[in-house]
Parts: sequence; structure tokens; C-alpha cells
Amino acid sequence: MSRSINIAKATFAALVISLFGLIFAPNISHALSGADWNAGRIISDDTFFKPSSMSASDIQYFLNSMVPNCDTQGTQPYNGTTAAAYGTSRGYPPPYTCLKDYLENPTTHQNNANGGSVSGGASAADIIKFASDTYGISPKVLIVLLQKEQSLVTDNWPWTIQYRSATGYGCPDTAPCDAEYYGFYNQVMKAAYQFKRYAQYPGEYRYKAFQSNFIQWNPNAACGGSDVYIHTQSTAGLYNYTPYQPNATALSDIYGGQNDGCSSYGNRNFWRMYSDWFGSTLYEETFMSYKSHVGGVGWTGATTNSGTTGTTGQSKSLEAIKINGSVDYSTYNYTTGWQPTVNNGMISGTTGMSRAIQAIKINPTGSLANRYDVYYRAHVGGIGWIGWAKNGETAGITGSSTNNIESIEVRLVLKGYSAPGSTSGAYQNLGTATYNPSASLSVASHIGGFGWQPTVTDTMASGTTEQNKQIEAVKINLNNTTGQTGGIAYSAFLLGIGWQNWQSNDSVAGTTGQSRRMEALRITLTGQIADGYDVWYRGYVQNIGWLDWTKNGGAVGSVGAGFQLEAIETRITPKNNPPTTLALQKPLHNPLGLSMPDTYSVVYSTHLSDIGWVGNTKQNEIGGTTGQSRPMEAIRFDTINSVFGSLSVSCSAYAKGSGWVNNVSPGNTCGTTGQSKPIESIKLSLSGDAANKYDVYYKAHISTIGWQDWVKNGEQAGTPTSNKNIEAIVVKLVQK
Amino acid sequence: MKMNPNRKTSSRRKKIILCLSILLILAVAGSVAYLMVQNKKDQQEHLKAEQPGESSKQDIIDNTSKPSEGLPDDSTSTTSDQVPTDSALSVSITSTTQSSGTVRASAQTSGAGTCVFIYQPSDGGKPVTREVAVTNNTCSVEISQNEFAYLGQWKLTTTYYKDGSKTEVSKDVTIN
Repeated sequence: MSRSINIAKATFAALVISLFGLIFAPNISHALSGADWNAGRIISDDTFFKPSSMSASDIQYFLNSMVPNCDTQGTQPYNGTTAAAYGTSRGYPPPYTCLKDYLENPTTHQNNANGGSVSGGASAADIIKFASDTYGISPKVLIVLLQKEQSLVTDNWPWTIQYRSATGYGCPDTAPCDAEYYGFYNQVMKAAYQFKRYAQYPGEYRYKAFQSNFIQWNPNAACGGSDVYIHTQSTAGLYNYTPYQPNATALSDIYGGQNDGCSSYGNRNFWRMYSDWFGSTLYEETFMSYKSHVGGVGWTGATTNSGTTGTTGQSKSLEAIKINGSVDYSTYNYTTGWQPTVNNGMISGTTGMSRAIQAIKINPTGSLANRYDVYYRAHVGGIGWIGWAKNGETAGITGSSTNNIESIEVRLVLKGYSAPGSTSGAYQNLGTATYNPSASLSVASHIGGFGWQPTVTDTMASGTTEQNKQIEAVKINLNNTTGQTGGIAYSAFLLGIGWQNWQSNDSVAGTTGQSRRMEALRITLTGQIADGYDVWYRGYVQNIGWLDWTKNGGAVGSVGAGFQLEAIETRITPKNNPPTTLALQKPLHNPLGLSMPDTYSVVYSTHLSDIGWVGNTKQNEIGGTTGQSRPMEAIRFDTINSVFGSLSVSCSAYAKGSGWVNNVSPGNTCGTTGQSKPIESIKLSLSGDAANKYDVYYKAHISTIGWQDWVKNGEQAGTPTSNKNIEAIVVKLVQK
Repeated sequence: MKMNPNRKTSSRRKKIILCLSILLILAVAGSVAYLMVQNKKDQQEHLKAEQPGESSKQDIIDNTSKPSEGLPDDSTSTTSDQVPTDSALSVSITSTTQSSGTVRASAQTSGAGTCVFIYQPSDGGKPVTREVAVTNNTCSVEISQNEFAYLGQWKLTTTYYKDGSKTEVSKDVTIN
């Protein structure tokens, strides 16, 4: 036995060791090849402009690891002699100071590149970090730049001139350098400053992001080059700093120096070194991802962070947009004006109504708002691109039925950097539509993992699509200026519960905090307004999509399929004006043909022998006792408020020795009290305007017999004059 | 109580299976770790082969091999403002042109030595710098237009070095 335990322990230990080894083994990144090079996207902006990617101690640790042994005295063999002798012959005698040990006084520029002590010296790591934080550039970028320009990171016997021209910034090869550029500190600070400027004023520099640029293979113009669409601001910056791209020969062996006379290596080496040391240059946090609904086409694919959505030159209007990520957004259409602000992938705009978006507002929130300004501009039919708006400003032209937006372009611009283009004319207000329909709904959904969404009006969808998030609860309110009285009622069908009670006037249908999915929903108008209007609605169901519309109390969603309801859309229309129907699916997906009994709650009290009244018994609960031989002597029903009209349970009871008491209305005692007369038989029926919409089911527990089968709607439970007492009863209302 | 021989055999078989499982796990873990270390080593070999020491020094050697007649001693450790100006020296910019993707400048000097051409953009950004030897009292540079990231006004300063002294002249030029 103990041997088995030992074996088990050994197995466990082996597993732990294996896992430990897997977790802490060196990073594996596949060896790069020229095929991985992307001239238009050398590095992502998120990677490039991230000063927090390394601390000063991280940088120091990295520099230490790259040169474990610095050849301070130049003792290693070099070019047939020693490094010291060779360096001395070229004017650079030892001692040599490796980057990890380098110190410089930022004011006096006194340094230890050729040995000695430095008063008030800052380490190379501190200088890199300071430049990084000052100008918002990743320390990793600056480290790679130092390697790319002067191999300073890996050199174990660097010469002083390598520090002097550390980033290749403005110092002649051997002549005196301008004091402004001289020294490692100035080189690193200037380079970081320059990269910030490239991004800050992108319009002023030769190579520009988000457009095609001709980039030469090398300084010899006769070698030619190619057009490159530059996708990131930082890639444009690298080309402005080093204005060449590698040709095929330079890419044939990215670790070598093959040269056909037209090769260049600067940007290739930057990309390769960064990738080898720090992983992919292309990591980019997804701050926002957006899609648009193009009239006559449908939803586009998603665009992440920056780029266009929609079409140009096709005269196709955008009808809706949805954005996932840290933004709030709102759209305007000519018919209904501004729609409520939404977020988290909700649909803003309309689908299937041929209503074009004419203006949009996008406002960053959370981490996006902390780092970036969100710029966006509209491409308006018949006009073209208009100016850039930012951070919640309006882009578009309102007030004319013709100025429909066909495409939207979004750019994330680092805080403090300039707009990607002209900001004039981003919005023209020729008039603003207001929409006051005589009857409309306001709908809010509680989404799993998110919470309550913003309230939207009808014509908009509430909930989410394509995000696999379940609606858990809804609140609906009627905006009614028709002059007719009435209200709105709605009921949710929930996993494990079934239909809940009808709710009204913004009260919650469904659950919160239980992670319980809503599967179906029904909505109905109540009162006078129901005579002149229909409420239409449809559901977006997991794994299916939008189902067809239904109206006035019909169910939308699914049952028996295990699918969650993810979004709903509503309309109130004058009678017999159905919304345009696009879906082929029935409003309710019910593949097994299951019944959806309405567990509409009925509440009643029972009067028991030797106990008295026991109240507040609900639908499907047992009123009375079993196994105690305790007769039930009376029953009394509460009033029911049905959304379909008046509804009440009428009761007839046969009390032993007294005979039938018929058609007792709610609130009154059905049976006897204080007379020790057990009920032997009972009949329940419904009355009122809504009686034809429900069945009342009930079953009785009879002394010495037990539970009888269910009966309904006035049928008899128990047997008069049988001397067998009803001891308990269960009652429920079921929608027909 | 004596153990049932069948049970004993079964128990032994289970132990053998357990032992084999452990060996298998260790073998797999070992292989994975080996591959990872090997991969990293390969990567480092790549880096070593190309980056440190020799190749960078070769670049520097190329640079230091350039003619540097007339520059002050230890000029790479000197800033230009520390070099004395000699009024006996003279330099003038004789032409600045731009065509076929190339920016050109020429200067006339009072003798042999070294010229440094520095184009400084008006935005205070990265300058374009070239160092050339004087030939027949003339120094000229040709620079690919691509290196002028900033389009517009630049200030060209030509510094002429001779015998550890300097003189310089500036001119505004437009790069477009």
C-alpha cells in the first residue's frame, strides 16, 4: 500500500516538475524568415508607444543578460591581435565599458565610456527609461535602436564613438559633433523625441501612415523601390528615421548581409532584433472592434482599432453600427434623429428599415480614453470624406435627407498627438430631426457578465448580437401620447423556471445575479391603446440569429433547444402594420414542439381543521396537509390582475353535511369555518374577460386515498357524500 | 493471511504500468525541455553570429578609415563648439540643388581639410549629416532625398576643419 502511495507521489512530483519546466522554460518563438517581413507594418503602435513595457530594473537586467562578461581590458583575440591592441591602433584604447555598466552625467555629459568614475552619473538603463517615459516610446524600441545603430547592446568591448553616435542621431562619422547631439544621453533623448514628433505631426514628414508611400530599397535611387501602404504610425516613423526597406536579397537571409548592391538592412534589422529579443512586433491590444450594416448588403466584417468600415463609391448607405470595446456611441438618422447612446456591441441605428445613418458620435471610455484620442470621420454620399471629429464630437451632416454616411474611418491617436487630418467641417448641422411617435417603447436588457445596458427606444435592438451573451432580465416602459389609456405588460420565460408573472412599467422581468438565461419573451399592450395599436417584437437567439416578428403576447425566443435569448427588438405600430420581415424563422424556435405552460401565479388560503386559516399558498404549492388526517374545511382565493383583462377563480365546495356552496367569488370563503365540516368535493372555474385565455388546473388529496389526477375548469375533484375528506389541494393557472 | 496469487500478479502489473507512465512523462518532459533549450540556443547563435563584436566594429572601422585631414585631435570626443574658430580659414557654399531624388551641396574652402555638411530641419528634429574630405579646395555631397524626412525649410551649415580649427557658413534651403 505504502509503495503504491510512493508511486503516486512520484507520479505527482513528475507532473509538477514537468509543468514547472514548461512554464519557466525559455520563450519559444519560431525562427523568423524573410517571409514574415511586412514592409507596411513593421511594428504596431501599441507595441512602439508603450513606455511601461519595461522598468529601469527590467532594462538593467536585460542589458546584463546580453553581456554577461564585459572585456574591459580588451584581452580577447581580434583580427590577429588582441581587442585592446586593435582598438588602440584605431584610436580607441581600453578600458572599455559595456552598456550595462555605462554611466553619464546628463548635464556635463561626463561618462565612463573609456573608464573612470562619473560624478552624478545615470546608468544607461536609467537614461533609456527616462527617455522612454519622457517621450512615450517603448524602452524595447530604444534598446533595439541602440543595437541596430551601434550594436551597443551586445558589444563586449564598445568604443567611445559607439556611445557618441549611439542612435545615429546627427553626429558626423569622425568630425566633432554638435553639442546638442553629443553623448549617449543626448542620442537616446533625441531619438525618442524624434519618434514622438513623427507621430505627433505625421503630416509634416515624408512617410505617412494610412496611405501608400514609395520607399526605396537603398540610397541609390536607381535601385528603385516599391509602393508600401503603411498601416501604423510607428512604421511610418521608422521609415522617416531610416528611409529604406529591405529588398528581396536582404530578406533572403535576414540574419546575414547578402547585398546585391541595392540592399539595405536598417529596418529589417530593427524588426528582426526586436522579434528575437522581445517577441512579435505586432502585438496590439484590441481597444475597439466595429462593424457596420450596409443597406442592401448586411453586416460587414470587423475592423479593429483603426480603419474604415462601410463602402465608398457604391452609393450604399450605412444603416447601423456596433462597436465592441471601451466606447459609448450614438447615431443619427433623418427620420428619428439621434438615438440613445449605447455601448458594448449594441446596435446603434436600424436594420431592415432603410434608414441611413447621417451622423455619429464615438466617445472613448476606460483604458482607451486614458491612452488614446478616438478620431473618426464620415464619408458622405455625393460629398466624400469630411473632417475628423474626436472623442464624442459629431461627425456627419444632419438636416437633409440626402447626406447619408457610406463609410466611417476611425483612428486611435495617442493622447497629445495631432489629428490624423483636417478637423474642419467634421459636422454640419443643417437641421436636427426630432422624433416623437405617439407610442413607443423604452427597453433595457440585463446582460450576463455585463449588467444593465443603456435604455434604447423601439426601432433599436436591446441586448447584443454575435457576442454569445445572454439576456437575463428586461425592463420595458411605454411612452404613450396617443390619448388612449393603457400600458405595457411583459413576461419572461426563464431556464428552470418557465414563464414568470407579467410585469409592467419598467419593473424587472427575469432575474439578475443568478446567471439564469432568458429563453423567450412576450409583450402585450394593455388597456384602450391595445385596441388601436399592435406591439411587435422579435428575438435574436443564440446559434440562430434574428427570428421573425410576432405581436401582442405571442412568444419570441426558443424553448427546449438550450439557446439563450441575446437581443430583442420592438415596434409599436397602428393596427395591422407589421414591420418589414426579413427572417424566415418562426418567432419561437421550438424544435421539440414543447408546450410552454404559463405558470401564472394564483394565490389562495386554506382553512384546516384544528389549525384555521393558512394563507399565501401559491401556484403549484400544496394548500393543506397530507399524512395528518387533517380535513380542509374551506378555501379562499385572492383577486387576480390579468394583463388580458379581468380574471378570477370561482369556487364551489361540497362541505360534509351542508351540501354544495356554489360560485364563491375571490375574497370570500368557499366552504365552512368553525363547524368541523370537511370539504369532500371542490370545483374551480375561471370568470372574467381573460377567462378564455387560461385553464385552471387543480388536484385534491383525499383521505385514505391520496392524490387524485388533475382536473380543470369546473370539473369535480373529490367525491360528495363519500365520507372521504379533501385534505390538501394544488392549483395552477395555465395559459391556453 | 496469504494473498491471492492472482491479485498479487494484478497488483504487480498495475505497478509496472505506473512506473512506465512515470518514465513516459519524464521522457516527454525531458524532450520538450531539450527542444526549448535547443531552440533558444539556436536563436542565440543566430544573434551571436551577426550582431556583436565583429560586424559592428567593421562598420566603425569603415567610418574611421575615412579621410580626416585637418580635424582636431580626438575629434570624436569633442563637440564642435569646443573647436576654435580661425578667421584665416574660409568656406562658402557655392551651390545647393535638388534633382532626380538627390540633394546636392558644394562648398569652396581656403585649403585642404574636412567639410561637415549638416542639414538641420526647422522643427528641431533629426539632422542629416555628411563628412567629406576637401578636394581641390572644394567639397561636395550628394544625399538621397529620402533621408530628408521633413519637407520644407532646412538650414545647411557647412563647417570646414583645418589644422584643428574651423570656420563655418550657413544657408537656408528648401527640401521638397
